[in-house]
Amino acid sequence: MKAVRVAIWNREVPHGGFMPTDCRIESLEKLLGGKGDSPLLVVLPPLSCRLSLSDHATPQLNRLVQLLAPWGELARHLGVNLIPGSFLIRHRETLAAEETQLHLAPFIDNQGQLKGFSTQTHLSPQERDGGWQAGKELPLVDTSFGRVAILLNRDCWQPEAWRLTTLAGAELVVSLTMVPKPYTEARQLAGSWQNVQQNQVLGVECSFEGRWQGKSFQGRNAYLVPCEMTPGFAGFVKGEEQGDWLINELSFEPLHQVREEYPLLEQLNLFMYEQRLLPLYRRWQEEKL
Amino acid sequence: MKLMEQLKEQLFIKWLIWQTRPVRIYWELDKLIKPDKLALEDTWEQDSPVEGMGYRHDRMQVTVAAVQGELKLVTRVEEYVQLMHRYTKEAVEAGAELVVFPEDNGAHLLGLLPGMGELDPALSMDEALRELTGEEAKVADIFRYLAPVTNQVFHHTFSALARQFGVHIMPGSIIIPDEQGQMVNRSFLYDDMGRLVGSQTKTHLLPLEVSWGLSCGQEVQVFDTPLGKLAFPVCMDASFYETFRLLTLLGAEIILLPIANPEEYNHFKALRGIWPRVQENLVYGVKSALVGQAFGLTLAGKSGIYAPLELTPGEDGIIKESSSSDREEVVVATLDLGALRKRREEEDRGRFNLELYEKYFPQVYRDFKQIKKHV
Repeated sequence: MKAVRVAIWNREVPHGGFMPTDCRIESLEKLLGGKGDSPLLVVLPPLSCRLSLSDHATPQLNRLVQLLAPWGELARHLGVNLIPGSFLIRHRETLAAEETQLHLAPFIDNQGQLKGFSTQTHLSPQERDGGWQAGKELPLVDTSFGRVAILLNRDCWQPEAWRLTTLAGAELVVSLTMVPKPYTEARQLAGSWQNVQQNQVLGVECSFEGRWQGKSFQGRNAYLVPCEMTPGFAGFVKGEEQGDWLINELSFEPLHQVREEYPLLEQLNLFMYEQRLLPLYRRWQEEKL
Repeated sequence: MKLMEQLKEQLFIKWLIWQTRPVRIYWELDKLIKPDKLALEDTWEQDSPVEGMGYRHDRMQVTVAAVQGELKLVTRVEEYVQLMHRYTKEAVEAGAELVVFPEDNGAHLLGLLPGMGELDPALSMDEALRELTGEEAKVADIFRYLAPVTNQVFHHTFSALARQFGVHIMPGSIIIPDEQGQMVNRSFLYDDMGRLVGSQTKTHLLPLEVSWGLSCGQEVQVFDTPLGKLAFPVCMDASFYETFRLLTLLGAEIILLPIANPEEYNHFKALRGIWPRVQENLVYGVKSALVGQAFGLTLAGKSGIYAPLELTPGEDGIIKESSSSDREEVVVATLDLGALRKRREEEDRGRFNLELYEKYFPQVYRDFKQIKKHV
């Protein structure tokens, strides 16, 4: 049966974020003592990934592979697939264009290879004001255990991001969220939980806990599945706490069974969306401008 | 079909139409309300919605009611009128200016078919029809056969109630033939003069409805009214973000949702409908549920009035919700349109990523359609 074990960092993010050499990450090695049959995916919270010890300035996009090399080394050494959180990176579309920042999360496989990265595609007014630029595509990552999408911050609440990735074939969506303190269940339900439901995919939510740029953030890590896969229809699967980590195995077979028994996406009105959706987004944009 | 059978069938439907004629509806309402408030002329016209352009939208508050109605098969049209009158009266007495009724709110009228009331309630719709007619009949066919009666009773009842109480009424939905003769699940809206404002055909069907032989609509609409910009998709339409997104892009501020969920109530399953759609779109949502037991189905759900998290006292997105999921209730609350518009202004800038959508839409849907074809 196809499955993946997912380990999520389950503590406050230390000041300054994580370096690959961080002992807390190496503590994973202990955790991996009794490796199971299924591959392991390790997920760190958003904006916790440090690319260099010395360089505190935001790095450039064209140095990405080089900057991520130490993280690749760690993934290879541990034999795990790794989403080392996310980071901001400087980017200039053209030479003449103004420099902006992209919010980006990489996926590194258990051989240490950068398999792809995702950029945040929907921004809050504050992020926009902070000079962030929205990404223009939502690529999927093909892994040994299936197609994975990574969504960042507001994308986790944006149904378009979920629909695009799941119709394109994602079966596991990893949400990296930052929610201002205090945590409320309603806010979490309104984000990844409900999008897992309306797209019938598996979800992992890794939430930033701690302080960033003077603000406090508080969320709850979660393993999310369609309601039909859980007793009581809660749609949450409990993870096992192991040290600093929360671990659980997600199987794809029960997901396929739910999709077969309750074929929700069969009821999409594709004709209506094809005809109406894009022209209305365009009209909205024109009106706002 | 033999000539005599055809004649019998035609005579029977004519007899039913006569039994449910508008004057009986008005007589019944006459008993229930002050006569001076009742006008006996027809004001609903199915094909001529009210011109609704150009409202100033300077209202800041609207009080709405969501009826949690119980499905009760009626044997006389007067019972139906009494029931709908009672719900409306309760809502209006609590201050409602807009009253919302559930999906399949004409199903009560199936009881007009002789023998229907005596059938074992555990029988499914298909089994009930087989028992009643002695032959295999499609569910859609029975709704088609009853459509002249359903249409007549439904429209005259709600047009008169809206006019009588001086409120807007979204009377829920009924299963009727559309302009092409296909059976559809369609909801309506009446203004406070009892005039038909417009209708909305359900655009996403339950598998059960597909098995009944229903067809879905291909268009959603927003109606400009003195109470704000209203839309009223039906039940399953709320399971998909696209419906509410289209309506929001068309300007909807309050989205009314009649539902009739054929399963036991579950809190988490219920959270997969209007509640997340309200959060995604920054609109108000009013859900009206049909409850009860009929045709082997348990209908359950909580009627409620929902808002974006920040506009609710507990930041839980719920302004008010019924206390039960299986009993009659009327839920009433006041919506602050000013607060909604302010919240939208804060969020609207950069809310969508058109460049991203241009890249993927509508191809992603086309590709999905192709995949479905090949599976």
